Amino acid sequence: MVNLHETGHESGASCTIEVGKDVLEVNRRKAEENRRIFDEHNIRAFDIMGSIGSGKTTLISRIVEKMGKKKNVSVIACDLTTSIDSNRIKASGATVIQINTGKECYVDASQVNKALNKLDLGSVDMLFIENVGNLICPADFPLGTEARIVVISTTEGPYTVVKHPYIFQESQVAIINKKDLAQVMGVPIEQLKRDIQRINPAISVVETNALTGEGVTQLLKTLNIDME
Amino acid sequence: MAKTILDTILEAAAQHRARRVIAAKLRVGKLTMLNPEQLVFWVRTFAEDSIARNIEIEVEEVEARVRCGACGYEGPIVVGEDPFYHVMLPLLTCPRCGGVDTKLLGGKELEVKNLEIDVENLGGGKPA
Repeated sequence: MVNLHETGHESGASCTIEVGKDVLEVNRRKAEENRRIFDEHNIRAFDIMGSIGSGKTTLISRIVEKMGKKKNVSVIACDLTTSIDSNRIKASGATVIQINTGKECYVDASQVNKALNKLDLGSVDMLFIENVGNLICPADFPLGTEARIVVISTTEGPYTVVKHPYIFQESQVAIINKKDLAQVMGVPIEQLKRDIQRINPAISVVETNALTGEGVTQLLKTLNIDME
Repeated sequence: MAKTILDTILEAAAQHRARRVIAAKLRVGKLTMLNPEQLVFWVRTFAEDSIARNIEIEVEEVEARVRCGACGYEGPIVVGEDPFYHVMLPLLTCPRCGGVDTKLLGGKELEVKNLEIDVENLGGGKPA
């Protein structure tokens, strides 16, 4: 529908055009394309989001170690400028592709799509995408994974969940890491769990200590990852 | 987000061969947690070197709505206030029956609804 009206200019006219374009649609479509690629190659893909220093990298390293030779695990590590995380994960034995997001505070489906070209998709069984340390922006940018996981830790204090409700609404699994430090921090894990479940009753919550690996088996069970 | 919005505006403008983008109307869902004032500020800032320079932006805020699979309720969500934390939490449970089988119908929109543009002269003076 176009409305034409004169503006008083000597040439040209101004008009109103209906656009109706969803700004995030582009990312959503790319995410769906990624999902099709994963399904086609039987790849179980997971988006690991979480706060800075929450333990995402350590958790991924533990999972890779547990999978051992049984499954081919690849990781896409996303960070502003460094390859610190990817070096750590490589040491555990996974193939790692690095995406440097620069000043963007999240990774988008298009960047993931390009990174997939660097993997031998036919041989990959599982893919973990380690998102940028951030509890805000990634929520709006699905990547096409089968599940989105958000990791927080007890050392962030008792209000992390209620201050960032949206990322918990977008996720299927929440991990409360550094459970061994809850007491020292005076952070009641049960309260964090209650906060999470109030915001998203459908989410599964797993408590972990990524340094020792405690809770990782439970996490894999929650994700229906077969260890056989 | 502001850059992405501006890119969407400029792309639509280019498709219609606009010389200038005078105004834009955006629809922003309340669950996007975007601050309309901040958004407008940054879109206009990024627009300074483009044909959307000095663009007027109007934001229509869209309420979040859910449909409950259990009791059939369809309507706005409840934003719960927690007395301990004094926070406003958007709750996705059904406001009527408390059920968790809810589908979000709206509230996450981020849309460029329409644009007012200046087009190139189509030739032959003023339009009939």
